[in-house]
Amino acid sequence: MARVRNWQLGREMDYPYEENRPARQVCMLFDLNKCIACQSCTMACKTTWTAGKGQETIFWNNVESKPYGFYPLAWDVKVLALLGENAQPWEGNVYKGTTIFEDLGMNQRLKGYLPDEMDYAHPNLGEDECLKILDGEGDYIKGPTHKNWGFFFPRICNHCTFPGCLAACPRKAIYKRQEDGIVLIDQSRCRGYRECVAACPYKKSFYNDTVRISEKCISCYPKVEAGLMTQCTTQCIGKIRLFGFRTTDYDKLTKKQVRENNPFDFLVHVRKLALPIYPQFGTEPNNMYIPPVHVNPDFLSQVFGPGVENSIKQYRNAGKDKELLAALLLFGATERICDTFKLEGNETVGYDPQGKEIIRVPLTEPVYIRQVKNLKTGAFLTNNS
Amino acid sequence: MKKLLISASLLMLPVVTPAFASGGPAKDLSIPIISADNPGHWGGHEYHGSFKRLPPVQLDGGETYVEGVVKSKKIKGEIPMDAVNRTWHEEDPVRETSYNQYNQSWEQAPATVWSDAPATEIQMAPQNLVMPGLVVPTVPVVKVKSVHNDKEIAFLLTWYDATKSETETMEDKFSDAIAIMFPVKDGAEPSFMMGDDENPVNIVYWKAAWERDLEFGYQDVRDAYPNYNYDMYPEVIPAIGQTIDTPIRRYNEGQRQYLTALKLRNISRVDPERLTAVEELNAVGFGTLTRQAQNNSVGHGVRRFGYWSVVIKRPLNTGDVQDAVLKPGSKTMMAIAAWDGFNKNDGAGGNRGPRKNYSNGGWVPLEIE
Ligand code: SF4
Ligand code: SF4
Repeated sequence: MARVRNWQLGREMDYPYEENRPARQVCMLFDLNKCIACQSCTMACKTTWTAGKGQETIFWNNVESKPYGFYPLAWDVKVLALLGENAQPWEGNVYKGTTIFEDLGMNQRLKGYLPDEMDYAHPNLGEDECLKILDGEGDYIKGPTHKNWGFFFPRICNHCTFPGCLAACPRKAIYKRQEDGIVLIDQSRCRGYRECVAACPYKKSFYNDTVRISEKCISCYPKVEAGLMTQCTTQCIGKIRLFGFRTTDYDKLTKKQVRENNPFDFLVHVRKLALPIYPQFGTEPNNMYIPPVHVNPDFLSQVFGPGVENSIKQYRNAGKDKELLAALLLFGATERICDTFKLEGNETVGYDPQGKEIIRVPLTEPVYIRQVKNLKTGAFLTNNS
Repeated sequence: MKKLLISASLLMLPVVTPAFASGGPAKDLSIPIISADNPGHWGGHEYHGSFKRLPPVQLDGGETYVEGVVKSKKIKGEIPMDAVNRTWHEEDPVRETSYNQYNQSWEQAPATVWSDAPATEIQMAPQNLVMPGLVVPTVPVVKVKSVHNDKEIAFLLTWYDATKSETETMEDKFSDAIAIMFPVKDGAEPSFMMGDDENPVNIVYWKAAWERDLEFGYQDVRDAYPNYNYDMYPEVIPAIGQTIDTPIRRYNEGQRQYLTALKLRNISRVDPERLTAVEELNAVGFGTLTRQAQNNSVGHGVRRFGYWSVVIKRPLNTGDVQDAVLKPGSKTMMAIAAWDGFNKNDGAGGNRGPRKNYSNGGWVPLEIE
């Protein structure tokens, strides 16, 4: 075991390999306040990559209804239990519990579990439980303002900095690309041991029944290499996602080195609005989420770590915070990967890595007032006359 | 019907002399007969307990045991691939009645190629040198026999496994398997942990799932989920009569692109055109196992009474530089690894890869007569 630096935990941790950060890291940002669970992302991914025989239960992208929806069944509950129930304490920004790579049993390389095949039988079992079907004893959440709460949780592989899948593969058939940090399974070298399926705490490596090997999200690398965002990002109806590259080097994550004009660095490192998913697992996931403001904060802290309160406060204020708004309005605005952005008057402008302008979005939508009637033809143009 | 009943009652029972006791001359392994409704202490198919109480491996009846060495016996003629089918009574279609005709004793049965070969019982240890591993052995003992006829050499591996695991066509299912390993270079002593940088090893690997693929056709989703339905796969071409059940063997190269591993010919995993239940591999240490381009071995396994019996055969000299050369009249060594596909380890699934048992102590001397 080597010691590596995991900035999300605010400390060093054990990992089977030496720290080796890629030159740049693919990163996806999700604004969970906007997801409508339309599953367009799921289908965009499915029809692009995993529609073939043997891939029936493979969802590189899935959207589950939290708190009780899961795919595969109870994945996060089970991994949290492996780390010890209610044993993931934070002291400020420092994680004091153990990760999946620490405190191991004698025959383990890491802590994981292999889901039962029936765990894949229902893509979002439990989705309706937040509507108090669970125990018949009234609302699960009690409180004066929100009786029930729930949110939709789109998930893909996190292309982790310290991937559990990669660490677990006895054949080194999984690798992380130096040029963009995408984590891939070599389809000609995999021998279907499913160690990665058992190891990935996010359960984002899947087994293909027909070819008998594991397959995982490839971050649409043919698109990424062409400077485009992934399918799940560009097809998102709710415009909740932004895909691109974040600065990776831990040492340089000081105020000065962070690129404030890069939307990912800005939202993750400068503003700390977007938070990692289950950082306590220890894989340093590179998908970041803006937590939903209306959800029980205890639950959010369990999922997104200690930064939840700050994030929600900023998000509620986003309407008055022009700089923040400028970054948030890039979401869903273009298919091209945006390297830098700038606030220009009432517009946010996005640039590609060559510095060429690729998108310009107004901070406030222009308002057009339609006539009630077409004066020439007399036809009604609105229905509120 | 009567015959069937009798055969069902013929359960392998332990005998007075445990097969683990010291080697030496042929042992008296007469088979007690018990009735169908009294299956006896061992209960036949299921066995749970420490390996010391394991029923002795005795599918071949009276045998000569040698210890600490595998002796490959020289024979004349063909080497039979089926270890269990006793060719000495061809006119009798129900093999088990042969016991009765020979006065219920293996001793009086005519010798066969495999029953005459000396047996070595190899105790297995749980792999826990690299993680992940096993804590306790899941296949505690494997019996090895070997014969050769100057052209070909074969190994018969027999072990007890209460659970038959012969599918991998399901997310959480793993196959029973066994492998034998030799040094590639003559006289070399590679690390028994799958070789080392200077000394590659040659591995022949048998898998129960492949045996089933051969018998019933490549197992696919329909075999795992008989009642499943799927609207349509994009690679399927209905215009030429294909359906979701069209075997992937019939897919053309274009269609195979939808099954990346098939297109890439990762035939260790997806081989709808498989010819035998074994594959040959090389390794230079843990994590380096690589399939050979040319496969010279054949294998066949059968399962009875909870035992797997697997015959692996190959030319003594395959002419393939990646294979170990096995010469008559020489001494070399071999090692064994075995997997119980059903055995779950701390929730992380059945035996596979490094979650295996290996011949305790590593290499076992192999003397080729
Ligand atoms: S999310 Fe899972 S599959 Fe993806 S890189 Fe991390 S550990 Fe591997
Ligand atoms: S496409 Fe967007 S809005 Fe729809 S479910 Fe996926 S992430 Fe949510």
